[in-house]
Amino acid sequence: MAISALVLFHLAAVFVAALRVPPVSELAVRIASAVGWYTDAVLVNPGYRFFAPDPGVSHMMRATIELPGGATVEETYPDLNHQWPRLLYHRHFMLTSRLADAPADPVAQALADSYARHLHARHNARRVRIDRRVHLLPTREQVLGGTPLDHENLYVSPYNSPVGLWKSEPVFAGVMVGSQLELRVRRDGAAALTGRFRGQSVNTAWRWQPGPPEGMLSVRFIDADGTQACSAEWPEPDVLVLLYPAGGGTERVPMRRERPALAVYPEEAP
Amino acid sequence: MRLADRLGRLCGDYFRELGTATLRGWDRFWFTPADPATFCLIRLLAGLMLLYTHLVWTLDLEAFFGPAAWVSREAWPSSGHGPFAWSYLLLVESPALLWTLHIAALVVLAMFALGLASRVTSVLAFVITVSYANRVPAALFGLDVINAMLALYLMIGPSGACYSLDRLIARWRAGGRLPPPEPSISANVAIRLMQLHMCIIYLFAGLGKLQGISWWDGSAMWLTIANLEYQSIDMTWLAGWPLLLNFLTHVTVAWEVSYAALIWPRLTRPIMLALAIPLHLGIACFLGMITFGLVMLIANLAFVPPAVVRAVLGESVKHYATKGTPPVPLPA
Repeated sequence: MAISALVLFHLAAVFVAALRVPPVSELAVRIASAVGWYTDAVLVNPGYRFFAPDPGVSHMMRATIELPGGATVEETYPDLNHQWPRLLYHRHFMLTSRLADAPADPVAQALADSYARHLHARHNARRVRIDRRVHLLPTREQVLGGTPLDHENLYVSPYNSPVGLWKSEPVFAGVMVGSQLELRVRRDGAAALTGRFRGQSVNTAWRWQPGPPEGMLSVRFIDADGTQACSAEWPEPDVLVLLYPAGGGTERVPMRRERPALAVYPEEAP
Repeated sequence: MRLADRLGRLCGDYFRELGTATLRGWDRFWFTPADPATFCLIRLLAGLMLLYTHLVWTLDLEAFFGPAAWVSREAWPSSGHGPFAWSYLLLVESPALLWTLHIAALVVLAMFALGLASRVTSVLAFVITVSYANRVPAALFGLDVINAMLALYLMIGPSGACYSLDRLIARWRAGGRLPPPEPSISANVAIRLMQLHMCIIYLFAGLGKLQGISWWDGSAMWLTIANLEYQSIDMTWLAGWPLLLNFLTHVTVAWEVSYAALIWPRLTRPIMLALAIPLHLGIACFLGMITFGLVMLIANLAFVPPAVVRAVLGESVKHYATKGTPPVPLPA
């Protein structure tokens, strides 16, 4: 009887743990959480969604490492030429696959920071910079047309966060005489807008929050008293349109940033 | 008799029979003693896979488990594992101690694979497997999931009852004459758990794919082939065979989704197992995951009856036939 009860409990726990992968109901989450102490402890908690919902692109990373002597080396992970046997290569591939949602996802970003620290210690480096590298999948037609799988156009570096230093576009400064703005968006949620707007000095500190997930990517900037000071649309990874309140309406301030690193060690302000 | 009484009686009879049949079936399914041949073969193969998996960590041990690991101990709490995950490796700071424990782990895993002191080494193998996996959750993939599952269930039964040094030693102690291992309830429970766990794995693997467009429009197989980081053998020549790619995609999903149902009947089980071979060998040979492909095939062995295992290995099954119990009872 006791063994039957244990067997039933175990199988039910394995089932609900597998069920927990999003999208998932609140009921499944609650039951899976209730048996989490068990499924975590015996490691039967993965979701088993192999190559699902769709086989995806490869998430890789490029590390730029400044050595103590001043030389700089670049390493790409994963790299079949340097990680052997295949299982060791695959371990590195899994490490970089976890960066898919960085820096927007705190877990992925914590991993990116940790990887930078590891490479810093491993090479006794002065500085390590990690950049995302996504390897897109060619279509059948592209391959039939002669595109190799490692064609340079298939490698991109998207950055899915507003974190970074943004500067207003010169064309905007030309229209808005006496205007030049810099927006510094930090990973810790702090944001600062400085510069001049129509000849007037601007120096504002905000908190920032990502906008709702549906529709165009957007950012909200919150005042110290909790009210929304302004917002921004964020149509492309390196383009942001600040909707700045002015004269009873809003001015659209197009801004562009230099590509930020996914992680830098020793850390520095973005 | 009134209609309501007659209906009540029919319902009562039905539920009584349902309860009795369920309990009888449950007992037969879980608690019929089984020949441990399949279970022990899985120990041998899974043990070798565990040994290889952990042997490969040796090549970059400190980078994954040392003080300045890829996933540092500071980053570990937020590295994506469950809140109750544990690992003795988190307590290790000194590289010397790390290497000592690692060598000890390899020795234990080698003993387990060979079936030496298997009752003890099976428990230690599970502790080792979970500890390594939990220390670097960011580097895990399907191989580790199946390794951990097999190690968990291999603790339950007499995994050293055959194909083991334990068996050789027992035979030597008995003067070279030792009867075949007795059918075992715990071997049956362990095999049953493996079987049901495999059904859950494939069910969710298949259902997860049904959420994706590419598994419906038939392009998923191309997307796996076109991924250079997975590729171990270039199969992009299939770009010119779109209908074949569609077919392979649909077969994969259909097989995974139906596995939990069709693996049980006697007639469809061989077909499902036969299809597992090209599927997992394909993953092993073309998608660069040799270890994952092989460990899935090892786990599928749970559905191979011990009589088949013994027949393939050229052993006699007479001992088990005379016991009056089938080696692995199949559900009615």
